Amino acid sequence: VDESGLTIPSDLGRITVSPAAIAQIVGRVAAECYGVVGMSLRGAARERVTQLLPKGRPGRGVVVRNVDGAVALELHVVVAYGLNLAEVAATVRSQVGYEVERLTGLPVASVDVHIQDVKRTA
Amino acid sequence: MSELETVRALARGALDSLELSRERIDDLNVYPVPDGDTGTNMSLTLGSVCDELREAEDDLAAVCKAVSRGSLMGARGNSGVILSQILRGFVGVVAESGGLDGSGLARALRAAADAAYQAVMRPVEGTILTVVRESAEAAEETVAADPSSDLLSVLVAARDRGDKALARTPELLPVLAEAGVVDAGGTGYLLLLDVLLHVIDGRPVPEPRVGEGAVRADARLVHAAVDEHGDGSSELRYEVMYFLEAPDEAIPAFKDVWAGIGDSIVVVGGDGLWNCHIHTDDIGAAVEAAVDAGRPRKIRVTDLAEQVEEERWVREATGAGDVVDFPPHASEPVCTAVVAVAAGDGIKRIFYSLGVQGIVAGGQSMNPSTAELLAAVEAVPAEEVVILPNNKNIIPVAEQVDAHTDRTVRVVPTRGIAEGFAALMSYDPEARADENAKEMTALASNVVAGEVTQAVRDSTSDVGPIAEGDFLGIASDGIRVVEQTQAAAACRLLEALVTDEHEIVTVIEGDGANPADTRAITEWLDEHRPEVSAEVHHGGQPLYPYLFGIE
Repeated sequence: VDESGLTIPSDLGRITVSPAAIAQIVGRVAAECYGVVGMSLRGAARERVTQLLPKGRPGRGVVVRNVDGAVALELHVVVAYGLNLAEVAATVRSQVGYEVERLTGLPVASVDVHIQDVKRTA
Repeated sequence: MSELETVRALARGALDSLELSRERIDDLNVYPVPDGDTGTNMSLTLGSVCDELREAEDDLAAVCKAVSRGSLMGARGNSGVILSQILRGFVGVVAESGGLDGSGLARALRAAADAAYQAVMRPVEGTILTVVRESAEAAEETVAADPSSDLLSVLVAARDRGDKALARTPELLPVLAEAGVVDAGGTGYLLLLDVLLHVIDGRPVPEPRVGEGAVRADARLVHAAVDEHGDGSSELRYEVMYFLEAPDEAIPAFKDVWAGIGDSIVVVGGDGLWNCHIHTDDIGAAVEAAVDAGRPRKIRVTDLAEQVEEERWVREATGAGDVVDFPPHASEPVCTAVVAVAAGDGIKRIFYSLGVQGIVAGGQSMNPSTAELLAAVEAVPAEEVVILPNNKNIIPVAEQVDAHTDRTVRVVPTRGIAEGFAALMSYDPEARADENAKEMTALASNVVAGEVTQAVRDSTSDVGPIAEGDFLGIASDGIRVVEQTQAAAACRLLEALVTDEHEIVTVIEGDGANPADTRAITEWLDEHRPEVSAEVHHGGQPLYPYLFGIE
């Protein structure tokens, strides 16, 4: 993980956005994505920075990396049972990518969505 | 009418109405991502429901199951997924109670709302979710006030509250207020309730509520007075509907032909894609008219008198629903074949000429399903297949295919048509898929892509305000120029993207391109980027008059 944060150039000096701040945004957007009923620590995310985040805190299950000044994201999500998983994953990708670019102004290089579990909610 | 017939009529009527309102609902789509495909996605999802229903036995449980299954398998996009969840909740109650009365409807709507809300961690109000929930609440209140309320009174209460909730969506979700629209998905859901009212009570389906900012497609209606479901004045026996890919200038002649063979004619659309509906006694002539004008897709014929048997026969005979095209060379076995996603006849021809064996119709706002890609992959004469999605949104769908087939499938993540063309320059039919994918991905990533399209609404961008009708020059990182004419947008986009390092600019003309503008573009390149040579192809793609590939 690149802990140095991502930089937005500006006339008045550098603006740095920390990976944790981006993870917060991603977590909040993901929670509003249709079909996502939870974030997961299983899989690759367990090893990384997000393991420090308590359950229920936005940012859990999110990995943020800096790839040449662009944001590379990895999300580990739990999806509701009975939904079309490919479509939910595609939606999460586009919604998260769109909101991160809109809110931070940083280019998004990639959004990888891992469906870690499917949960029956009813 | 039995519950069985009600469910079937609801699904079919909803599909017809959504197809007619598709473009208008697409134009409302500003949330969660303003990609203008809500109406298309809801319509495609219901199309899959109707396909399942045709195969289902005449038994209420089987029909309800078909609705559930069809909406799950065919769900497209965010709105399609939510719709599938709503339908599942609804038919679950109908199947369980074995019928539908006033209190049953209230329970079914509640189940639909609960199912919709359960599948998301943090529901966003001001969307389809709000409309579904509030209409369910109104239904429950009606039943609570008078437990003997009949189906119609409960439905009217649900519909009216839903309409009010839809009108309030801009207050709840600021992004809607900014764009001056109501929620697109909520508009689609209200249309469903209106169609149910039509099915139960014969009421006409009203125009969808849109909001001041929405682009109105009314002017494109040929006949405003449509007999929506063929259950009224028309004496003619068959209803024929299809999507027609045809240049705009071919449409007047097409309408003239249709006017001579039937009535209740509706031709809606633009930018090369038209949704066509007619009542006629002559199915052959109705379809031939489309072949003369362009290319018909998803042909659906309904016998208004009898329906089922003949509908199936005609459907099979015309190959409707078959969106996969194959060129002559597709039957020669190779080690690795290529399946590409593309729209526009010219673009398809170019892909074939570059060696592609299978093409699946699709592109921006017209995403093919995993099943369609899978069908194409399994039809090509090779054990290993490379897929070119040619659109960012289609890449994840393409990546699903490998898991569903014995064949080896690799995806070259091309985000545009120009990248797809470039990738094919290193395609070797005799090499393995892994090797091809590696080489093709490397070439595709060398291409700088540019697009010119026209704004369908007022908006803002990093480069200033956008007015409806403005031409936009778009690079992979977003909107770069806003201009009054497409030639100016194209030249200024090239000015921003083409450097002295580049060698070739591939210009792909789509619908809306014209020789004068193309000449203006090539002359601009000659004058300002003399080291670069321009190659012009006719692509015929909808929505984008010009696509550029810069290498």
